[in-house]
Amino acid sequence: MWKKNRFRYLIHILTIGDKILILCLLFLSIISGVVLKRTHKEAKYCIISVNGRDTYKLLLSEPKTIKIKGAIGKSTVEIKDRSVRILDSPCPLKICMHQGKIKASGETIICVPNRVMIRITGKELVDAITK
Amino acid sequence: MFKTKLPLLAGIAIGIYAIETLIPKPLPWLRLGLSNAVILFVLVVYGLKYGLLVSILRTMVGSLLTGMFLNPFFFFGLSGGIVSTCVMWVFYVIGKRVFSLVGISIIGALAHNMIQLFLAYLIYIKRAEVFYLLPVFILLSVITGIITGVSTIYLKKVFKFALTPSN
Repeated sequence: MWKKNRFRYLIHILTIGDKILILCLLFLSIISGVVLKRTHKEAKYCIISVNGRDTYKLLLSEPKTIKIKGAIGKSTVEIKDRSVRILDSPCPLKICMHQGKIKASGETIICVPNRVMIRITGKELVDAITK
Repeated sequence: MFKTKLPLLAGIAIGIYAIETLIPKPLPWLRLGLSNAVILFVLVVYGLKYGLLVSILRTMVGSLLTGMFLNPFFFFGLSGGIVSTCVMWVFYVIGKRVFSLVGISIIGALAHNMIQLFLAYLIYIKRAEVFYLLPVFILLSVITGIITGVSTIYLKKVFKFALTPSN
């Protein structure tokens, strides 16, 4: 009999305060989820920095292939289908090339020998435009 | 004796903590927090001092057993345990009439998760992206809080002997 009424027992032990608390938290969880989704910054730009200085800021929506002069040579960066990759690099291990495409906000490609760093961001970085 | 029951309860908490890490889960730091039921029980029956004692003991010995002693997650767990124990105590003292043990355990789980999220933001990640986890954490706190609270109530039924500290 006790087993049969277990669920009813569980409902019974909850006070009104509990129920309000649970409903409030569920509501808060949904609301904060919706708000965060709204304010989520979409990946918009890729920022290429050489030697620690932001040199290029490019729109991801415009397909483009550019050559970047790094510390030991020229790296070729390709922007295509809202993603970025390094096509060619003078570095010995080619780690940056093997990493492939990046497309989400916050992702990075770093080429240490050539001192090139590519990162994707959704923020409107004013400072990054200045060369 | 009162002094022999407390280590027994701490042992139960540690056992639950150790077994919980064996359960496969989607995220490595996610846990049900059933050992929190024991801590809430100790808190209700014996008071804040012993609740904190069991909470700290649980994290220290439990992390020794699971091989996490003194790594960053250990400190996250320790601070989360201490803060959630204090918060649960405050809400138990103030809101005994308003909340049942289920509500208090939900608040405790929430405090535990929020403190860890905040610490992760402060020490580790330092990027606002951490707070995208907030809705997930609130939802998880409610679910685990209900489970833990209900187990505390059952624990209170089973451990009748512990309810009389004098004998």
